[in-house]
Amino acid sequence: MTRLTRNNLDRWVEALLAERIRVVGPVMQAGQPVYAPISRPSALDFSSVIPRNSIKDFLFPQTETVMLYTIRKTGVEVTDAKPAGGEFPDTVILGARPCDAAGMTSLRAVFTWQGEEDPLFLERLARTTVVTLACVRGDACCFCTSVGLAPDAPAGSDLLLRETVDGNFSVEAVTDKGTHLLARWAQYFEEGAETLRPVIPPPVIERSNVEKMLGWLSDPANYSHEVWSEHAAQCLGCGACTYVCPTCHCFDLTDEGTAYQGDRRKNWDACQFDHFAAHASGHNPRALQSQRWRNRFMCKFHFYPTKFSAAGCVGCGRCIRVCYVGLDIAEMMEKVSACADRQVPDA
Amino acid sequence: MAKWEPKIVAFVCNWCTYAGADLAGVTRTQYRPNVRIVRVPCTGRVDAQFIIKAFESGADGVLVSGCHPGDCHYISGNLHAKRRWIFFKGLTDFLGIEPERIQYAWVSASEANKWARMVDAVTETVRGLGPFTRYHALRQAASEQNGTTMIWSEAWLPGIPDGVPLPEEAAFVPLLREKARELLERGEVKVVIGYGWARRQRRVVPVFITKPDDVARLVFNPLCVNNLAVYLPRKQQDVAKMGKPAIVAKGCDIKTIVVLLQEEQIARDGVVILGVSCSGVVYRQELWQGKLAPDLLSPKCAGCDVKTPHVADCIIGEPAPSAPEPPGPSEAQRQIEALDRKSPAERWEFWKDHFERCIKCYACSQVCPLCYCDRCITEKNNPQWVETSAHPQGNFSWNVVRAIHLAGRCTYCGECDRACPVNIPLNLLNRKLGMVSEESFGYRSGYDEKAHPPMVVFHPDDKENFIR
Amino acid sequence: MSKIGVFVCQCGNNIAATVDTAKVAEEAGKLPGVVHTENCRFLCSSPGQQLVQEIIKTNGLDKVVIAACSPHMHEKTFRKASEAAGLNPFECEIANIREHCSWVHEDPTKVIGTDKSIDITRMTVERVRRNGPLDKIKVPIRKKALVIGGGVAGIQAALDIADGGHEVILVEKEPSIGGQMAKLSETFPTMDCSQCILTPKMVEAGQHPKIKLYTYAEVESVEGYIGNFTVTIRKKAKSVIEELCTECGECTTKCPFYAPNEFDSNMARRKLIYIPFPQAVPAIPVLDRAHCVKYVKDRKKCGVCAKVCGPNCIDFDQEDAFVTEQVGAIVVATGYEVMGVERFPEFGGGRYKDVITGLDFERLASASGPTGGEITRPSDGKAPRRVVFIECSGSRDESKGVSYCSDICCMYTAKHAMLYKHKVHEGQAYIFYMDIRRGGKRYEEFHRRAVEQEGAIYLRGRVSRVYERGGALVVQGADTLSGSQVEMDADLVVLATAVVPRVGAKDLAKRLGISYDGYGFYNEYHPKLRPVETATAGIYLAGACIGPADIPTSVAQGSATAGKVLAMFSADELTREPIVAEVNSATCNACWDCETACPYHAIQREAIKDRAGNILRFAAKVNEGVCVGCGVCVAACHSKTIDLRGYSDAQIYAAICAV
Repeated sequence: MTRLTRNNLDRWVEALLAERIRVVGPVMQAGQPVYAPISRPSALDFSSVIPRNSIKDFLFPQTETVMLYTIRKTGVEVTDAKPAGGEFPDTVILGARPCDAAGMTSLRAVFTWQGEEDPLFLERLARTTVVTLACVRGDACCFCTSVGLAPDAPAGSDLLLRETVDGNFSVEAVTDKGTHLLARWAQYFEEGAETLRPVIPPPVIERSNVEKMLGWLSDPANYSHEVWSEHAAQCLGCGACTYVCPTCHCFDLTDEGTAYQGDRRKNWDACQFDHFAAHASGHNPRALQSQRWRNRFMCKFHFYPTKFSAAGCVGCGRCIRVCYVGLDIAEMMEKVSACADRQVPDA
Repeated sequence: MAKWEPKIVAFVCNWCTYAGADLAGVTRTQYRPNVRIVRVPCTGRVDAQFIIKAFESGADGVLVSGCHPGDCHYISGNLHAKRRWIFFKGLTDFLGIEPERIQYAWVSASEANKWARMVDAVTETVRGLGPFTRYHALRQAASEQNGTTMIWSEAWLPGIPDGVPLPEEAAFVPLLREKARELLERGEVKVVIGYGWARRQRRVVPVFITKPDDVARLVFNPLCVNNLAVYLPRKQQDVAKMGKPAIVAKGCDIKTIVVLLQEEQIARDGVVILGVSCSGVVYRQELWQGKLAPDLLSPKCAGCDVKTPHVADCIIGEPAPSAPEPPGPSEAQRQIEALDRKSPAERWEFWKDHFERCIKCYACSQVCPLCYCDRCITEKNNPQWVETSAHPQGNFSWNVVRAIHLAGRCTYCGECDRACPVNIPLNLLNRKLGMVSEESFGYRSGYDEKAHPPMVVFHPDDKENFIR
Repeated sequence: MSKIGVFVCQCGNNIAATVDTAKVAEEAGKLPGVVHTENCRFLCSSPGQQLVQEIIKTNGLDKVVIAACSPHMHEKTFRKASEAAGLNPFECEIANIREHCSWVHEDPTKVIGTDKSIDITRMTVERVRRNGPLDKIKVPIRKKALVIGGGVAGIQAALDIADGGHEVILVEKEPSIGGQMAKLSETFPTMDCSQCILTPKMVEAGQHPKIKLYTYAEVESVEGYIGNFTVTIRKKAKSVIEELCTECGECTTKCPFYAPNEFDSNMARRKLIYIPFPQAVPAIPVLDRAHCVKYVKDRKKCGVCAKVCGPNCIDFDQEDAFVTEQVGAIVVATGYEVMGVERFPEFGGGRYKDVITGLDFERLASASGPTGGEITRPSDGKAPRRVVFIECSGSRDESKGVSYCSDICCMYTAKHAMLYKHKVHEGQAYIFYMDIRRGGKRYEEFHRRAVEQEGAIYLRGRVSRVYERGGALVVQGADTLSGSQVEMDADLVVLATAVVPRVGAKDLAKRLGISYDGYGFYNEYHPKLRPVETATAGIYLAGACIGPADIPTSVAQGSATAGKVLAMFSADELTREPIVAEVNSATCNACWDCETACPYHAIQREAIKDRAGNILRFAAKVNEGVCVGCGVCVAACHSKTIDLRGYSDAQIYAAICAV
């Protein structure tokens, strides 16, 4: 197998940095694992189950300028925003988890839907290589195995690393981009056999079934089922789940500036916010938190597969970890699957 | 490159200061040309947002001036303004904005000379301080910014680690469940809002009990840190639809309920308050190791004088020892005092570092029971007082608005602080303004249902020492 | 996109000497939306204004900026001119480049003045871009006035308004109008008999076709606002059917029982069904249910009054009645009281019968009083040989809670000394005083008579105590001019006690929504320039409810309020400036911060209903008839639900961003 020793990984990272390639990986900040750009290989820390944020931060940032405008007597002049330095940085994300990588596939489906291409996202993606590190274990919140993924699923990855018992990594090229990367930095990769670390995949949520849920959610009659309000009373609409989710992609465009010039920014938005769906007339079709929670769930398990032909949920479990009042999407999956069961005749 | 000249924006009231400036013109009194006047009918019209926007638009200094107290054309508009300024100055000083950059004054229609000399003095003082680069740099950073790196705060696991024993329930829990059952069976309430164990994770979460048989889910232990009062305002329509609630509330939560009663967000007979005696709760459930150690205590527990609830329909449990800990500053107070001792530049750096990380998730607002505005000021875009982007300028503006809107109202439940994903010490801002409220107006929030929030009332004797 | 015109005025040399107005116009012309600029010599002149109007019309301008002198000077001028050209006046804004620029930055190179003028003009252009048309607010007026208080001030106000052709309702809480003046014997400085000059006015008020009198009645509640007040009046049960009563007085003659007469300071008795004094208007008797045996003991007892009543108008079961009136203006003339003797234990007040107040002395001196005008001691009915008057009893005394001077006591004490001397020729009056205040017309001369002709002895000093020794009162005080302690016997001690607001004054103020000071006197809008108005539009003040006042002042104020009311009633509608707040009821959270903050009580609570009429929630609503446009509510509102037309958030934001 192709392998990458830990030492070579460090040296490879140094080489990448020397080429002014941005390297993003899991680090510890204030005791918490986060994905962040690094300036030296010793910052990398692969020991956590999963970093707090997802890698979407580096492809679809929380806030970015889309264009600049100047209001003149003769009209409004508009120029496209250019990233600092003229181009988006070449990036290697080193140590993404498979669920995060799969999330990027879903995002790409959104940002190329029906031929409408988001150049900002696609530019960044084109310049980013995703080197995924497969998991050896999950924690109580992981459930990738319940949504059709696995601790070593390759979706969205360019290279896939697996941990060996000696502290090194096996390397698999998944895409052409990954193959090119291996070729370019061949001096750090070698052939050799090692034993992979044993993997304990997260247990499948027993009573949850994604296909059944899709069927039930697709039935308009279930739109007003009481399961939504039963479950959602404690939600406070803080949006934390949206912000950490690898597949959540809604954004808001806003103009900011002084009287005669400014920029148009693209900022993360969340369907959990009170006025997300509000109309200019003042009418808010999702005025209740339960309606907003329903929207989130349906987006993940119905709109996404139906509309974008991609997975809406990758089972990373971040939303469960970060929820301030203990809402658990896995619990909801069980509930909705149970509803679907009850509706099946002779069940 | 033209030499830099200080740019001062002045908000002046139409009747006194504007006329005083006119009189300076009539008498040909000469003064520095650095002021740009924005006319308002009364200083009572001036909002904290005006001052922030002036800085965002490039001002190096701001002047706010109106009629002398007692002379206001609108009777008491300037007395309202005075109170606001006392709060706002407490905040801006604390954030590290040099005090000399924001000047407040009383200038009457006959005080042409005072106006002229004051403009001169303010101009020269600001000239000495230099351009307000560090504020304008927030805007620079904004336009160059393409993506923030987030730092996430503590506590990653959502529940108590496996193997760690769960806390013991309070002795009164059976009484609590009985009371809840009684209320539901008699139809006196339609839902009991309380604490319960989550189903899949080992953590305590808010629960909504609508059926008498479900009362067994109710618990009370040191992990019950959430402030459930957040579910009472009308905004929480799903909860409101359930019907009249009973709420399990610790003394600190009841302080918040008192403020909600003051502001008529709930009627006293629209909620049944089940006050519970509490000896302290943890700050982070996930750090629980078996017992309530002092270093796990939530900051709000320090100096608590409502261990036995002060307003309630019934009190469940034996009254907890009522004497608070020996007097002495709490941790939050110590941190505030330490910040107060630093220079404005150091304070600015402290807060800039924190606000830069803000991701505008507004979790602080959503979890705060007193942020009940259906349409928040941040959601108003005509005009857009608070920029929504998560760049340093927008973050600064948001955090200032949040703090000033809570001034004198916040009861320090600490939920904003706990919910902030990037660990901004919001509690320090709230407490600082609470200290201003206590020291300047003798007002403590959360005790008197009949009181009005300090920002909308005034006393002619409100003391200050900074208005020219 | 707006079509904005910018007109820069040179104002002769006033602006042009230090500002390059052509350049200012040129720079303004570069701003988006500015389609026309002018640089003129004198814009406010007739040709100047005509030029502005022509250009508005030919260029189809919808917004105008005049860069010239202060808006305090010519905002009205240019707004009128713009209106004449077809614009809404509020779409014209002034950029002050004279008082705030050209006059105060006299730089001969014009660099400073020009730069600043360009900035000011730009800020104004951005602001005016957000100006919208505003129309003056019309408030209908109900041309009927309410006067609360039937003392001389209230009577004068009522007569003047009624003579002006409008209906007046006069509400008085005693059984008769007349107030404190009815209790006086003679009045300074003319020594007119009080009743003699007052009674004709009382009768006129009682008979005036446009005055409706409610006596033994009080104002229960007031709602509404200027031009449109709804007042509920409680008519207390007199036990007499007023419409039938012929004022024959048989019942009062035949009633077998007595009670102390409050009008005579309880120094005499009256019947239980009574009129308070002979000249009462109306002379309709009132039954004193607090003492009458029918109510205190047994309903079956007595009933003599009903038996002798010819028109059969006694109704023992009568209840308080409520009347609602719609009025456009309210005059408050509720008067004063004097501090009671029991506040002066150091002077034996309340302990010795012969220690009385000045008002009590008036009753003794009054021909229709308890002693028929004889000055006699309350204790034994004998004429006092020596009367000691103590001025400033309570007034100017922090320890009694009164820091002010009560204005009338020096004069009436001198009067009392003279009356006493007229009636008890061998008597001697001693007057302890701090300062003698006699500033009114003919007051000085009056006072000198008391000293020089009537021989009153004035001692400058305070009295420390009054006590009894051997059955006589002893007054111990100081005479600072001679530097000695004084101790003297007195047969009667009269305290000139402080004039204080009436009990219940604060409650009435709250019901009306007017403010009062720390003592309870009502606040004028401005002590010098608007002395009979309150901050609450449509409510006026007259007489001693404002502060201690003599009769000429009270009468003058009564007429003054009538003038204000008649001026208001002279138009069919009130026109108010449209600079008022407005609420977006969709986003109101009903926290009522605006209601609490508003100095004018102009915020109301509006029920938001669904189509079936069910109340969904409440939202704030601005009463445009009362709001004066200060904007305190706007700054108080957390959610920016309330905004101020004319100084809106958008307008101010635009000006700041253009700085």
